Amino acid sequence: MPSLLKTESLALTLTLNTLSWAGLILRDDYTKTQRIIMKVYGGLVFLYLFVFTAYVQIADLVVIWGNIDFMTETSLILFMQLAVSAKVLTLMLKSKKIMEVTNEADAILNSEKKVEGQRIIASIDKNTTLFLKYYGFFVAFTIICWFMGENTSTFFIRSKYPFNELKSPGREFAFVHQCIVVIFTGSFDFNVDIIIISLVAVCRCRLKLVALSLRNLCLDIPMNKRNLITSDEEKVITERLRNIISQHKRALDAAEAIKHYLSGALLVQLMVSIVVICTTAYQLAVKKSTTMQSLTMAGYLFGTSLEVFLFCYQGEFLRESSEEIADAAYECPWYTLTRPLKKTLLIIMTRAQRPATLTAGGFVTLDITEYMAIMKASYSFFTVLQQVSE
Amino acid sequence: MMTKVKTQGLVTDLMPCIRLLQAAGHFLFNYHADTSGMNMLLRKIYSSAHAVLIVVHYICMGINMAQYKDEVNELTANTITVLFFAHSIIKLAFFAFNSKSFYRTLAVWNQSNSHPLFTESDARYHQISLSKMRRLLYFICGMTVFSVISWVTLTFFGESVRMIASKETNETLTEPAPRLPLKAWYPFKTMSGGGYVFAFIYQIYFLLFSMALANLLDVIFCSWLIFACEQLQHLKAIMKPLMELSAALDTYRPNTAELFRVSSTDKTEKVPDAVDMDIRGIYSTQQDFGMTLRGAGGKLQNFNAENNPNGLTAKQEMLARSAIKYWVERHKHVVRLVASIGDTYGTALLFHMLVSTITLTLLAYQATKINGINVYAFSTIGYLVYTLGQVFHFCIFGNRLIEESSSVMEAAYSCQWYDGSEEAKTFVQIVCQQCQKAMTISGAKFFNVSLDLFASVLGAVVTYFMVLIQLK
Repeated sequence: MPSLLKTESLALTLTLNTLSWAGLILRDDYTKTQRIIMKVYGGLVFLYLFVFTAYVQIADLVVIWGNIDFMTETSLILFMQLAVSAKVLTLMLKSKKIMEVTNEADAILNSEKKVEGQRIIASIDKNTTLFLKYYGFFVAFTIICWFMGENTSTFFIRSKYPFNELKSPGREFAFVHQCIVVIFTGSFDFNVDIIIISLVAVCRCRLKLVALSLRNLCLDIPMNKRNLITSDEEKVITERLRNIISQHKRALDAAEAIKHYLSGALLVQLMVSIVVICTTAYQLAVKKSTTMQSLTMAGYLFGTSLEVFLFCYQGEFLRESSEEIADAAYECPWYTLTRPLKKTLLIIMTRAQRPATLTAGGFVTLDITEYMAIMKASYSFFTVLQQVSE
Repeated sequence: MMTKVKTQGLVTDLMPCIRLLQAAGHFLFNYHADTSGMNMLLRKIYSSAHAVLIVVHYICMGINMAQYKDEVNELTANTITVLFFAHSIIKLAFFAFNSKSFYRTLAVWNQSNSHPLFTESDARYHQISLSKMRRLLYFICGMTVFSVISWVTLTFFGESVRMIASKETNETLTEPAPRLPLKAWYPFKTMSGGGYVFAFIYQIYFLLFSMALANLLDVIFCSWLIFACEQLQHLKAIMKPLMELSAALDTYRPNTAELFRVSSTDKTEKVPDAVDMDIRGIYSTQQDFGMTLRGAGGKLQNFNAENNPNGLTAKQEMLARSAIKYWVERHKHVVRLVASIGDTYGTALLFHMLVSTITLTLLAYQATKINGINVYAFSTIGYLVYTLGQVFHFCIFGNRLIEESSSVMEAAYSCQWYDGSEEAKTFVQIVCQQCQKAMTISGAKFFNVSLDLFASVLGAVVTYFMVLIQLK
């Protein structure tokens, strides 16, 4: 059995390993037979967890059609499963490319020798670990509440099985299935989200390191009275600039690749989040429910809002880090450089004006303003739902 | 007794405001000449005493709100008052927890670069910013005192009652309440006598100090922005002479008009001394800077010079480069200052906007119940104007910063850069590129402080008001 995957980021290490044990991500160090086995295993896991569950829930939806309360309850879970399965599917299909990006980033971060650079890496790692903890707490809390609460269904999720679930062995099978679904869907959702966030954080880290190198371009070049560098110093700086530009290009390529792979999944996630937020708010506000149920709904509401917020926050940070490159180029003493070097810096600054962003479906840029728009949209749908129910 | 404390940079400019902040009870313990243990302890006790008194009264108001939470009218009015004074508590706590970043921002401008050519312009704009900061301080202090006086005066008009809805008959009854500026619960009787006088004085103290706490911190923020804007004005003003200076670097432009005209003014030109390293001596007259290039380019460009076909000595080149260095370093310093301001005050602005949004929503509801020129109308309109005024206060300065920083690029373009050397053109290119994006202050990245923000807040209030009027 291959050993543990190790990366620079703690969050990425934990989550990538968890998912690879479930067969959803294929590691590079698998042999051909192992690869095929893991692919089949992963496919089976996906089928059992998502496709089968979706089927039983849709079957139930057909049966209870017309009853708004039950319908909202089932559609809530269904939509959340949809979002998770979209994300997991993306990861499974693009697993190889994502591992490539991760390995490349890992190599670059590992080879960072400057003290300040290591400090930047450590602070971003701490940031991601913090997200891991907060988000993990919410997911665990919601799962526990779901288990402890009373539901209108026989077990935990409303569903209609193709067999009789009230008599054994159907009863045991259904019970085990539901337990697994509740626990594992939640934890896979959590893992995939943290992977996405860590990937974006790693891109951000690389861009920050480029900015650091730009800022320190003339670090050990003494300032002379003429305020102009000598031709030897010019050679040194030209070489440094060339390295920085290639670093910048590769970081931007990686960010573009990540954006491309995750775009579809993020769009599904956004649509689903709007639906989930307004349905949970409706359940909390309108339906009479026990404390446990209210807690679960509140947990879902906060968890989903937090999820979207984390994506938008990371998107905002990514954009900010790529725009920071222009400021970093301005911070070095460029007025002492020769004209060709100044023109080079100018081209870097012009490129940095078009920032690297995270998008959903290619048309929605994920940043804080988008988060506010999502919250407003959810709230208006919630008020419409309230009107419909009255 | 109190020796003069040695201050520099922003602290010197903002000293009156800092002293007022210390007097109002903020936890500002730096910038004193005498830092002996005893005096520091006394100052800490002073600030803590103010904090305790204000928080205690705030809690009393909160208890009163909880007592009458079943009456809709009372609840709305009390919520508005509680939210109104929430600003002071939040700003007091914010400063206490964030004082380090405030000190850091105040220290940003302690060391600034200088250039002999531009000291006069620097001093002029510094003086302008100083006078603007003073005027702002006087205005805000005046408004605070006026608000307190008008609040206390309004207390003596109208009936001092509470509106209670009777459960049986379902009509509003009036219950006599003490004639005090604020409705609060006290453990002693306040209808008349000693308790009334004590409560009245306590409330005047509370009004004055809590409003001062909130407003003075906003004044510091806006003063920083005024300073940054005036520095940007200074940079824009010296762009033109800088361009004319570096026009002499390595380009030969024949002055066609002069070729066909006998120049008559060369006798007064002061030739720079070849070994004199003091660059201040090179350009001593104002006319060296007042001229245009196309018209009388002879002073900077000497066709008869032997050392350099472009009419420049090495010293003039050094001078031009040092001027560019001064410009760029000063601009970077301003960028650092603005970034520091945003980091320090951004979260406070976010809290302010959150509380103000809720307050304004409730005030829009209250405003629909105005039925004539009476105490109720005056107090509701007073609250509205004050809250909107607070938001307008920092929006207008944030907007000015945005305008000033984006106009630097326009200033760079509008000077005669095409007459400049290649060096000057590259300088203009990089400056234009960097200054395309305006410098903004953001409330923890959720919004940008500008007049757009104020317009959206005002628009929202008017919309709620219209909708609620329709619903009535």
